[in-house]
Amino acid sequence: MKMLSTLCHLFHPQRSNNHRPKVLHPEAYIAFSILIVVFSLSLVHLPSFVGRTGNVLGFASSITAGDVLAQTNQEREKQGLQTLTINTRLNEAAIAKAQHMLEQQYWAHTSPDGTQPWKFFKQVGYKYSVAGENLARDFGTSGDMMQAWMNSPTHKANIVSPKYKEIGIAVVDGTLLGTETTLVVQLFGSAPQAPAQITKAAPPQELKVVAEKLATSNPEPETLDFVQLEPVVPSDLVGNADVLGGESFLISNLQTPALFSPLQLMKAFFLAIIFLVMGTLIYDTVIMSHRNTVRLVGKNFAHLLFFGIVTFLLLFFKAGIIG
Amino acid sequence: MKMELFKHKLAYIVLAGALLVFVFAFMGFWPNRLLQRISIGVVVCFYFFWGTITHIKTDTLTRRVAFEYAAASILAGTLLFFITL
Repeated sequence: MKMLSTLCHLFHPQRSNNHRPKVLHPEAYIAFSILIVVFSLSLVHLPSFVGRTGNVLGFASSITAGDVLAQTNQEREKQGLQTLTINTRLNEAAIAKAQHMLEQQYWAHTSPDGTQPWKFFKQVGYKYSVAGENLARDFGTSGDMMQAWMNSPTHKANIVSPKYKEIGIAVVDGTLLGTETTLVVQLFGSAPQAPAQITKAAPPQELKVVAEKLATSNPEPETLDFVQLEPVVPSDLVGNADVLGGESFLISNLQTPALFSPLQLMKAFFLAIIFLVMGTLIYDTVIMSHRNTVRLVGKNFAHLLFFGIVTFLLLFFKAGIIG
Repeated sequence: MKMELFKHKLAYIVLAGALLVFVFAFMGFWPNRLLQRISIGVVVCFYFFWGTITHIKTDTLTRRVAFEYAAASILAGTLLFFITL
């Protein structure tokens, strides 16, 4: 009986709640907001504290380097540009960059210890006149990832730059900041002919950086050749984090796909809250339309419209971050 | 409900139009999270002011009503902000 009266107090407009379900009071909205903050921060930071989350949290991906190359060249062809050829040294450099991010646990063009992207070009002996880097993570498909890159002017500039002739692609599964994910690194380059410069996808002021040295030899463009990687985990979390796998044609999927992505969990929790609020709003509107009670409250229809839009955006929000 | 919509149709047209613009902006800004968050801030402020102004015009604004619009805006803003993390 007490349970029923509590439920009525929460969801049914009556005298005890001033003829407005308690769930729709401003204090309840604030309480929901606090709950959302606590839940989200726990989800984002907990994996970093406890290390890996096993195979529970992570982003499943079907991205392959072959798809990335094909779609990159498709975009170039649309612009009437020459297609890019795979260079194995650039592939190695891309893999080194992805490994570096997973080992050092960072997500950026420049690592926290100051390692710049062109260090990886030099490391594998790739000589360039112009070079660039695109990064992506957490995408489920290469189509979404390519769309995100093409929506970003700086990344698009790399993909459809006539200066580049060669490309290296790494699609690496690993654990970044406690979450299983797939990192994609695209490195662009061109053999040296003019004074060296390097561009990377970054805020415009950082877009062009003149490289200091030009290397001596020209790398031979290689035949189509990709590298498949084993999932990588940071060395402080797992005994031996050896990374590089085999050589030839690839498919790089998560070997033990995670149960949920953090985004899916967040969406489920957020939608549960918003459906509760919207359901109560609809119920309150129906009940009050049959009563002659006057009350000074916000407009239910406006709230429904506003929360409806929020629901729509939550449902269709896509995962994926580019850098 | 119909009466309410009819009585304040201009206010609701403004609200619906602004929310529609927000949806297109939010989706169009993808994958730029910063712009998405800025658009969230704008729409949250808009909704609060829309609510208070609408109630001022009908002479039904109380502190409690303003608090309700502020709280609803905060809830929506929190939901959208954290999904972009």
